[in-house]
Amino acid sequence: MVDSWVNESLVESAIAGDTDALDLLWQSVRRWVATILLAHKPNDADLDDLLQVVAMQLCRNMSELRDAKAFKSWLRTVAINVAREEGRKTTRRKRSMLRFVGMEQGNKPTQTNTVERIEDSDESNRVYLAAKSLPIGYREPVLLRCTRSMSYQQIGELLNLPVTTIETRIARGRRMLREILAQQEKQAENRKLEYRKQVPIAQQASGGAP
Amino acid sequence: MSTDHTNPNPSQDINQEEQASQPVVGLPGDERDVLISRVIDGVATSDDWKLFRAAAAHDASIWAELAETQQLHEVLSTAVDRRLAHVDQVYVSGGVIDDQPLRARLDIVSRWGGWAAAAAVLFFWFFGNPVQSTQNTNSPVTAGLIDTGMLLDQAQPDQAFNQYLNAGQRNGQVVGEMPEHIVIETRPMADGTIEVLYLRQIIERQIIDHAYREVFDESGNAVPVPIELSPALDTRF
Repeated sequence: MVDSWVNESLVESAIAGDTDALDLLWQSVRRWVATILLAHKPNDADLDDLLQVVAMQLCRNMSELRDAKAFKSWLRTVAINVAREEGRKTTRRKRSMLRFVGMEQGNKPTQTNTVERIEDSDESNRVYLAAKSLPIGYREPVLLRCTRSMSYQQIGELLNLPVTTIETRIARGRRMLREILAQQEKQAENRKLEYRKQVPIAQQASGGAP
Repeated sequence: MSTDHTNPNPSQDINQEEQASQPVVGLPGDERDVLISRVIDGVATSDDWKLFRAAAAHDASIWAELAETQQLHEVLSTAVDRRLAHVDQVYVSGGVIDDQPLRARLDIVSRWGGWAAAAAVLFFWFFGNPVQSTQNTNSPVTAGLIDTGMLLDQAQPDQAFNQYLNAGQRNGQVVGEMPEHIVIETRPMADGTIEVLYLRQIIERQIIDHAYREVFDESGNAVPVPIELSPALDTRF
């Protein structure tokens, strides 16, 4: 069983070129690396592909790391950069496609979330997408806390923030999540009411047929 | 997994910058949230519990909030777990990423890319626009007639598209349609509906007997140069 938190002697061995140590190290960190990717990646990017890119960068650049203590924050930065680069690529690709068919709408941000909202009908996806809409400062600790229960201490080390700040952000993030979901439910309810109001009007306009 | 070393009094944990702006009856907003979070995360101390019970005596709605937040955390953990289901299969075997399949694919692209481009050029030069072709009796335009007796200009777009796929597959021009549609953009409309722009991907094939490579002359103009084709011994890639 691999230790679920970062073992510094493994990091030092991996920096020194020990491939077995690097392998073990990767196994111990890949879940939280994947969670960082989840927090930062565009919704339609493939998580496993991005994780593979991070693993590749880890292999190539690990030996350049000078301080084993800096490993966690370095790897987190790598993951964030990989996720953001994918986000930029996705935006560029979509814009160029729309430009090609003459449908680009200025610089309006795309709203891929809307489609995921349509496709994701079950409760867990609805909650996940609501969590993805949290501000990043809250999103990351809230999602990390869901990753086989990383402790506040571990999340704090990873994000380079005091434990008290992590605790407050998780608590506040959860409250925001409740509020977002409550608002979504309210909006859905309003749409239903609006629809019910409109139907009789439409029927009257078409000649009063039931 | 290490234990948390949190302050027994949540109110002392929240620094000035993090102070809540919405006080709640009994406990300030953030203090109440932190208390609920500690209970959910299993790190509440006996003092936290005392504080929680005192708050609940004053305002029983804290129990409902606790239950709701607990449920959200469980549901979110399940959703995250589901998304991380395959990450344990991403290895750095022996410290070296196994990118052989990726490199093989790139090799194929670099080896065949030029041919594919030449074939694309050839396709347009020799076959012209398939819609206007009169020699191809199984062209997508006429094929639909055989199936349904319906003229394409009378068919709905989906019907016409299906006719094209069926006819293309029969004569070998269409290999198939990729199952996944690629969403390019979604736009909420004023009436509450949503406009979705997406790509449908069709894989087609053509057999060619002439190919050209594009080269550039000294003035930078593109010039097609015929390529001598010879039967391949093994065309698998």
